[in-house]
Amino acid sequence: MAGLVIALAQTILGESVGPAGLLVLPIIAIAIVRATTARSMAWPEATLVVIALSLAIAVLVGFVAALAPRGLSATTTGALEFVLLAAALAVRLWRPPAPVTPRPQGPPPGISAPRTGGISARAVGLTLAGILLGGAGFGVAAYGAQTQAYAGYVQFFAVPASSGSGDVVGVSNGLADSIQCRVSLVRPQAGTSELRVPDLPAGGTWTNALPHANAGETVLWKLTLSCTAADGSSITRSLTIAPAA
Amino acid sequence: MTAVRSRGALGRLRAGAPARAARSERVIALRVPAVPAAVLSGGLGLLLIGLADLVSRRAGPFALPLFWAGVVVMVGVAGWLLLAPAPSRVRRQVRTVLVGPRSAAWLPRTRSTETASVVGADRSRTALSRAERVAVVVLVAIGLYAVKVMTSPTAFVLPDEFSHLRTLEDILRSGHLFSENPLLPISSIYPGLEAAMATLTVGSGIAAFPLGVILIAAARIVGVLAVFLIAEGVIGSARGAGVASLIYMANPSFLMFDSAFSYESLALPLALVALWATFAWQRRRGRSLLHVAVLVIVIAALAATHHVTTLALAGFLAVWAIVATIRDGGLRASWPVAAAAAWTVLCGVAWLVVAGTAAISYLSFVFGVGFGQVLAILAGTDEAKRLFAPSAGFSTPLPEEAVAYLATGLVVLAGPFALLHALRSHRPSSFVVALALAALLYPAALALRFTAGGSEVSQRATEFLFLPIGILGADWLVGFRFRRHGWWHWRPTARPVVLAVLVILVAGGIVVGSSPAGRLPGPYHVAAEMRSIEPEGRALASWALELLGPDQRLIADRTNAKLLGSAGLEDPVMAANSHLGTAWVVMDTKLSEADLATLRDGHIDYVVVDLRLAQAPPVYPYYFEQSEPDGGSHTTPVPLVSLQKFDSLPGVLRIYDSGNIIVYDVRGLTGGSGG
Repeated sequence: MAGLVIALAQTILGESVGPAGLLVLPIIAIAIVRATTARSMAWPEATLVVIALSLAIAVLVGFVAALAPRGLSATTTGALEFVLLAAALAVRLWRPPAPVTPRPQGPPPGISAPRTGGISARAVGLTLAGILLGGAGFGVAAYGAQTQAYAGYVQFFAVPASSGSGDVVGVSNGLADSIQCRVSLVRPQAGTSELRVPDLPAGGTWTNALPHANAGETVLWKLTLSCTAADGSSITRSLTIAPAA
Repeated sequence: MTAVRSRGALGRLRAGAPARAARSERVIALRVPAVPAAVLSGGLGLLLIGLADLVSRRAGPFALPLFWAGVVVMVGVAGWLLLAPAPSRVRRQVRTVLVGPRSAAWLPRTRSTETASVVGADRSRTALSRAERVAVVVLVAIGLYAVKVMTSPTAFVLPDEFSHLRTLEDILRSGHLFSENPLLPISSIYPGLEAAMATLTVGSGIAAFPLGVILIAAARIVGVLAVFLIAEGVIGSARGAGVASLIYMANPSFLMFDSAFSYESLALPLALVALWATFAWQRRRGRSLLHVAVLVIVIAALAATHHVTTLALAGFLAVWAIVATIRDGGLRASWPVAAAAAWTVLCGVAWLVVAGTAAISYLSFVFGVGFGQVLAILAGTDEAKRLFAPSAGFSTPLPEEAVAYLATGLVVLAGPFALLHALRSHRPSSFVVALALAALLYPAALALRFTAGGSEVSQRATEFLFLPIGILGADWLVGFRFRRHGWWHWRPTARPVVLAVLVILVAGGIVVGSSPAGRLPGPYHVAAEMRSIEPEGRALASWALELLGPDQRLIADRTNAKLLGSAGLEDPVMAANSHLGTAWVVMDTKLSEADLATLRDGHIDYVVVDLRLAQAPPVYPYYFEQSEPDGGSHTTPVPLVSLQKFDSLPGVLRIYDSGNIIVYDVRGLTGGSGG
């Protein structure tokens, strides 16, 4: 029932229902298992079947939803999952109950019963220790990835403005510290000018519209970015652009 | 009748056999519970490997020893546990009395179940239960998957992962399948993985990376469970199944390639599940609706997910069906296998009809290159590829090479023993015969290793071939012995020796499957796959998407093309997707007429030049792709003059400069509007 509610909610809302959305597929898989067999399975077989069916159904639902005119969306996948789940439940209810083979109640005569003691404190401790160690390993790896030293970069770019008002020049600071920059614009047919760039903090971006070209100004413009980093090092970048009329 | 015989057998067992077995096993009794021990060793192994990753990223010493220590701890303890003695004497006696000397795969299910229940009831405190063995196998599989995830715990960084991310993004953007994927055209034709991801994404709202990790982890659990259950059915022992699963994990693709966010990582487990379902369905003589449902659904999904895996499954099922029909007297016994094979073929063909036949040309090219080179080597017209050849300063350490050769040699040397044991020790089932036939392909796959074009095919073949190798190998190593005549009955029996063999197999598989630079993260290097992914390249992709817009046709080296094609949603043009030699445009020292024609024919708007290509030869064989000047045999970097030639070309604009990466607008050369 929970699966039906989640799938229905996804269909009606037309958007994701959060991590609960992941539960629908296993629920459908379980419903299919229940609809097709009355036999109880050991956990390895049950795990295998439920996960495998979940994965395969995810593929097929995505495929069918993408072929639908509306395309793959939360609505279409939710609706398909709802229909699948309802169908599996209907089959389960419609099928006559299969005769259940009685399971052996205990070991055959002469064979001692397996030891079925509870979970020991030692087992719990070892498991927790293992999880902690593994988690620490993952944490170390993640820390290493996040703190890996890469050479920083400074992006210098020019692109046509979307409004057609002229080109836009920009600077983006990918270094760890702020930078001080200036941009010189060399227009072979109209002299040189300089654009002032405010101090750019780490991760900061600056953009500025370039002037229009004069009539008859056809020679390419040269732009040079000169920056000084916090450690005193200098950075130079250059562009060549066609002046926008 | 069975019940009477069972009581008789059990009565004899009560007379002392279990007591003797228990006494002998108590000598090597486990002092800690198995599953917690596996969790602990797995955790310790992951900690060591996490430290190895950290050290390797900082180019520090001892990264490789730490990595191997982690692997040995993880696999060694699991192997020791999986080799823990089952009450084998009890089992053997019960089996012999109850059903006679037949393999478990040949047994009717009722008797097999009966046997298992007797064995399970009589286990001593020294023996691992079936459930514990399954848990240990799953823990190892997940642990080895975590090793791959830990190489990049925050984002996908492998080349194939970028290609499949592009297909996923295209599906999410358009809502439909079959958008052209410039990075890996075949990916959009087999979008099963991405369709599943899209379904889960729109349903849960979870981002692609964590969702992809969860999905591949689930697939991995399914895969090893299927291997375990198939092996258990064949060998008739959970102990043997555990060992078979561990041998399967020794296939060179298991650690990295099959863990990637790639269609094969999903397809292979689905194929294994289909095989298990067929196996179980046949044993129930076609009387199981559940297994039919699993078969129908899983194979349909598989056909939409991966071409080669579908082909391999269809081929194996067909061989199995033929063998079963011949051996077991017609289709009466083998019809479930034949039906499964027919359904696989039907789904595969139906998908070709739906998605187009591009897969056929793709596969014929991939296989044709490799086999063509093998023939050329045999004819003496081509030289064999040098294995473990150093590349751009990266080389495989000698001990790793030794382990790799030792592992491969062990598989080859054990092959005759395992095959003869399977075929001569008792009447093998048709499934075992089919497995044996499949295992015979292993030497052919090894031959492909010596070719440049076929080594990838060879590596991928192992993920299929290690299923028969694992099952037959485990049956030989730890399976039942019913008769003892013939030299093939020899096998190592000491538990430490068998454990050493298992650890060597897994370690050798890791070495064969991935170079040190491919399994450990590290500082940036030119054309070094995941080690070439760094912030400047990612920033370029983000910039391109934001300011150039998606679907711009451009030329870029392999690393930047992957980033621009996935995160940037651009359209890198290359020989692989357009049959144009775009690499020459960048690598030629002067822009030739042919290069200009390439720019025009490819409707190229932008050329991305990474000046770092002039710093070092590539670690991966190519800067761009296989079709490039000196592709696969670079000994010197790209000349800097080649990369800087665009600065002096009239009509070319330089619109982006981040120090190492320059973007040129070449529309002025091709008649576009840029210049």
